[in-house]
Amino acid sequence: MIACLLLIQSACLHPVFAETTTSEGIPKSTDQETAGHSKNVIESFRKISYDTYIEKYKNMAAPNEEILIGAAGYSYAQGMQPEVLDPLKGTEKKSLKTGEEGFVEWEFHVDTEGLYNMSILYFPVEGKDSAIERELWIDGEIPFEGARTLVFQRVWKNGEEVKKDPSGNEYRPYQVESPMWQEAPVSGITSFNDENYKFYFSKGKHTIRLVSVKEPMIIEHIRLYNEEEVASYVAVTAQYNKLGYKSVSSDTKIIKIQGEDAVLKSDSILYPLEDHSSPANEPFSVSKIRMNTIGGYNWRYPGQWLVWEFDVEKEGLYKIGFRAKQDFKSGIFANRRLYIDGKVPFKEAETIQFKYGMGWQMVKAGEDEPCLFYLTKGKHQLKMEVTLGDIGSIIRPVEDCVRELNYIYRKILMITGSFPDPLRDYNIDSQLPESMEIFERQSKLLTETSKKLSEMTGKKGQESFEMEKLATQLNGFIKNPDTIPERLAKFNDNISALGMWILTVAEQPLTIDYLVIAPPEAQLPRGEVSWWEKIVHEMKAFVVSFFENYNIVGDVNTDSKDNPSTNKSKPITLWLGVGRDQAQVLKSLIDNNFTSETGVQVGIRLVDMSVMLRAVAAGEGPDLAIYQDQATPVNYALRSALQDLSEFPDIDEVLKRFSSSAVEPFRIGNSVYALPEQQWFDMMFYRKDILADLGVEPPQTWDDLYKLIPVLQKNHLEIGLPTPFNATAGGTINSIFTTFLYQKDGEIYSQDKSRCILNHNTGVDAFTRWLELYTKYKIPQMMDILTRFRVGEAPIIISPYVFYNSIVVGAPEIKGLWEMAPIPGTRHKDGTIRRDEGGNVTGTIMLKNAKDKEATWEFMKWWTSSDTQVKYGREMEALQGPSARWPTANIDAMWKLPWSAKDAKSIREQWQWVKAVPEIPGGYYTGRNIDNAIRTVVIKGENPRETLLDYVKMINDEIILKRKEFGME
Amino acid sequence: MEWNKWGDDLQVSRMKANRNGSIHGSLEKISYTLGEMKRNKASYFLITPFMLVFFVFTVLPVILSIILSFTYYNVLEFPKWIGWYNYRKLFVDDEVFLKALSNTLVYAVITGPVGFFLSFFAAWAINEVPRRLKGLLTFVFYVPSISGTVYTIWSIIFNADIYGFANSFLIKFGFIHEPIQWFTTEKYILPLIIIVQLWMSMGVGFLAMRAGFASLGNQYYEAAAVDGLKNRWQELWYITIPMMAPHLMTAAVLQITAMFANAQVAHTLAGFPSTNYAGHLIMSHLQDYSSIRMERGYACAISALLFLFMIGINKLVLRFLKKVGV
Repeated sequence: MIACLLLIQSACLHPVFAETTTSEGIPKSTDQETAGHSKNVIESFRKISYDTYIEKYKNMAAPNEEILIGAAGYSYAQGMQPEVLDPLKGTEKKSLKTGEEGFVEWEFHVDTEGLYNMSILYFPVEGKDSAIERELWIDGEIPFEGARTLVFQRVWKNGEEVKKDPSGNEYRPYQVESPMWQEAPVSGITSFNDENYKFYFSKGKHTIRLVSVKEPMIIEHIRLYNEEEVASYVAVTAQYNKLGYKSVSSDTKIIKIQGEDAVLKSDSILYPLEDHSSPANEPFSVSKIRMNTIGGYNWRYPGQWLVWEFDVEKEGLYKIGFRAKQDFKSGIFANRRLYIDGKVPFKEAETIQFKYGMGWQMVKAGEDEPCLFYLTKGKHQLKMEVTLGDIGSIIRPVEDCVRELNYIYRKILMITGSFPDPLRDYNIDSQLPESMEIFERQSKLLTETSKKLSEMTGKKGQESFEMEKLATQLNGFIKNPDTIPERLAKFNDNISALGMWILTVAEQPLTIDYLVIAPPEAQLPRGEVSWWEKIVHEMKAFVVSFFENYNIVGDVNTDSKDNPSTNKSKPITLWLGVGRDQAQVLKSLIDNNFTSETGVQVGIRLVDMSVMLRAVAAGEGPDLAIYQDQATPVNYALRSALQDLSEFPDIDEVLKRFSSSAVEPFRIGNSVYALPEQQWFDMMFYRKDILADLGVEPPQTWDDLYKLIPVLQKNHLEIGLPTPFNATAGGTINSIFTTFLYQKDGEIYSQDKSRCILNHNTGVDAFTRWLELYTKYKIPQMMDILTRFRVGEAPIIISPYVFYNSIVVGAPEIKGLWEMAPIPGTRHKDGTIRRDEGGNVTGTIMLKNAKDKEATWEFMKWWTSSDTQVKYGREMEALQGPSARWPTANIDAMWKLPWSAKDAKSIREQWQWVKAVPEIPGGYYTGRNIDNAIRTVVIKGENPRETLLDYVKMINDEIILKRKEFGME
Repeated sequence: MEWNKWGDDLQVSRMKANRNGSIHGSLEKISYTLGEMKRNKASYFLITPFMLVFFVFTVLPVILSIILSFTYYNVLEFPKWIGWYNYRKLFVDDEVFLKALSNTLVYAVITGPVGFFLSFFAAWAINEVPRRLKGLLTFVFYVPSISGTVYTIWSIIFNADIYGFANSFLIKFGFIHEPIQWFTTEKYILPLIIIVQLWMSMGVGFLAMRAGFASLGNQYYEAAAVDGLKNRWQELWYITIPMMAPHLMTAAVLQITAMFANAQVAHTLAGFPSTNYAGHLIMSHLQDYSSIRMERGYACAISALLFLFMIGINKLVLRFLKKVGV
């Protein structure tokens, strides 16, 4: 039926399609599209900001008119197949499901020219749990920068009551999505702008296009309207008097809402937290973990919100207080906007400020005299949202400034290189005439902005320091352009520092213990206990710390009365060598999904993995261990400490979950000694803006890259590869080497894995090509890839794909300017490009003396299953943010993790080329000596072939020795 | 008082023993010893707890590791007796061990004595400054060795990136054109490790010497001045050093054991194992075999050798120190 509908639509809309393509020149082929896109990117640093956009239209009227655009009646779509859905629960109209790629467009008619607010009624349909992101185009172009990233939040809630483990510690409830229809005004809250955007529409026909960046979503309508001004408190009190609202009597019960009981939240990382800093926290226990607060450092980005529900028994005016703590950022306020039942009651509630302080405070809404809120009898909702307050107007221009200065820095760098010759005159001012103009403009802007900031915070220095420093330097540049090359490095530092400042100054963390809704006369509970109570508390906590073992995460319940299932089987012991977060997430997953279904209990212990060997030798080892690095399983297995998993009948079925390259390192002959859990491999990262600037395409093959290197070097730019010169990297075989080797069909070891065969022609060839990168092409032997990529000095980086997460978190200012792609390959005779490379894995092992092997095997299957891996990955990400994205080895699970469609496609494309690096007895000698070989050749300048042959002989000697040890020879 | 009496008893018994001579039957000696033990049972009782702990956790492991050095032992399986094989391999068939041995000697010979004298002179110099500065300076000198892994700042200074401190400095002033790979270039590795180790050498030994200097009273110097001491050097040689002999010995023992048993600095900076084993110490070799190659038997042989080595060097140093100031 849907297909039919689509057919009809595409048939009748065809003329429109033709019209749009011709009038706006939508590029037809994908190649052109990327080219067009890059062009946008270069210019993006000069793109109009919302402030300039609105300045242009400031005299326009805001007509009191509403235009409703039904989403189902879309006019055109490309790159996705929108689905028109029948009215869903909560709406009466048809809605449109839009995909995670491509775009949809709507056409509509505006009767009155003017400025309009826009809001979108959407439903966050199930996707990959990450925030929904769209670009907004009006009449075929992005009207201003802020419209490039519109974020539509999902709604989350606790997935369970806060539960206690058998030792009495509470653990964090997992978070589940609670999707609902939401009408979201299009605002700049994620682009340092608190306001709801206004858009200008002339009279006549217009189009709105939503380009999918991340996640699918269902849209019901887009509304153009004009919002009402929020009344001031004075006006609202006048209203109270007129309507005869009275304060409730002082004996009315105080309503207390615990922060951790928030019913809805915008982000899965806004889970209940444990705070042990004050005995006045509610609830509280000296020795046990209690989930008693919410927010914290996770609740810092503008736009994140929490919603609480409460019941009012008596109608009337109340005051509202918060027991809160802002001990993260000194010198600034944390701002929150307060909504009651979805509405900001008055202007003063738009920014409630929380001062910095080490302890807990009781903060009232309203400055000296608490503001009063009118509440009717019954259920109410209270929402608190992070807002920027006034700081937004400071950040926005500085953000543009950083972007522009970064651009000009790169331009200068292309002329001078990173170490300019002090004796040479570069004449920057005549070679780059635009630079002087930029310096002058930005220096003026920075000086003004820093003055404004000091006025706002009432303090001079500290916060405005970075700006003043840069402004002074720019003035120096203008006065004395000859000194620019010399001061370039410092200039770069200053820009980076200002960039960091922008990132941090917008963050406004706040922890909330509880909210109080009280009659105006009532005394609010105090924020902090007296110092004496505090000392008593600390003493008690110190004493109990001797009796609590926090290393056992949720011990198994041995009391069979509570849990009848214990009789069925013995508990499994699992060792984990990573953090407590991982252990807790795993524990709650096990309790909810494994133990409840199989009746098998699992005890998790946080252990320093270096004791594992001794523990196993002493017979005290676990039943299984996870997060084991690639070499461990074979090493242990050779010494008969591990269970051969191929003895289980369904092993073949289980191994289908992974790519064969992930299992290969865990094999000895036909036996398998571990199940893969993580797998990662190299991807190529490149800066779209810089490559477009140079007029080059991202390299597809190594030959392309070789051609590109001189172009980059001429402009003093570099490429970054996984380096063999990092002394402390230790032991693994360099991935660029394996790339060269595998792309030419080479192998490290012989067929039966008994000898290293790098001394064959392909091996020597790969080795030579690899070292030529350093000797002939002079690529840097060492670099800090994140910094160089961020400032653009190294626009091409090849690195394991987890680097993606580092960029997202560590360099948000280049968002949209870079891309992840498969690594360069080798073009073969038939024209295909081979992108082979070696990868890395970690695995789960079962010890030979596991007590209950069947149950342990069940657990291993459960743990590596797609479902568990996805849940674990998402919860880790929910807990630690996108930098913790789980590089799962389960192929199916990978596509369900929150990668954008485009990135997932790149990873998928590369993954099929990943080949295993086998693990063999004595294998540690291979990586070590390949590193030694290349260091000897590059640093000491020895003959490559001879050197490699010498080292391969050493490797083989060790392998033979080890093979003899294990009776394999 | 009681202790004094015991001391006298000891003196008496020693004289007795000497008089009896050693030729007349060992039986007599044993029965005499047993008698003495019986008489002093309170003392034996008092040191029992320490001896138990010392035996179980120090002596026994040493003995066990010497026994294990004659076996093939991979931790996970029961050891197999293989006689002198490990030692044979160690001496004639392990080039890396010889490399580690020579590195260790160079490393210890430089960092040991130089570090020792540095500590000594630093302690002496600090002793000469005004009282208020003393505490501060002691703290400043001692800080590198108590602040754990603070030496990692050297990996930033000698970062191989073009923006590493040393590299960018050298490039800026035109000494080099391309960054030096400090910790992967063989010829720089050992010297750099030695420099860092010297920087950290103001350890417990230094504190012992500071304590020694602090405990020297003025009366000796005054008396010596009366007796005709001419200058500060003579003061140092004839009074300070002899008076400080016990402290110097403590410091020397601590310093030497630390030099042999510590490979952490080398591993953190130059990697483990380092490029072509240029920074490989005996301790690194031991760890390589015990944790990476899982040949604990062989590792035990190395450790047994290291143990003998340290005892020998300590003896040598103590003999040397006895001659000082005489």
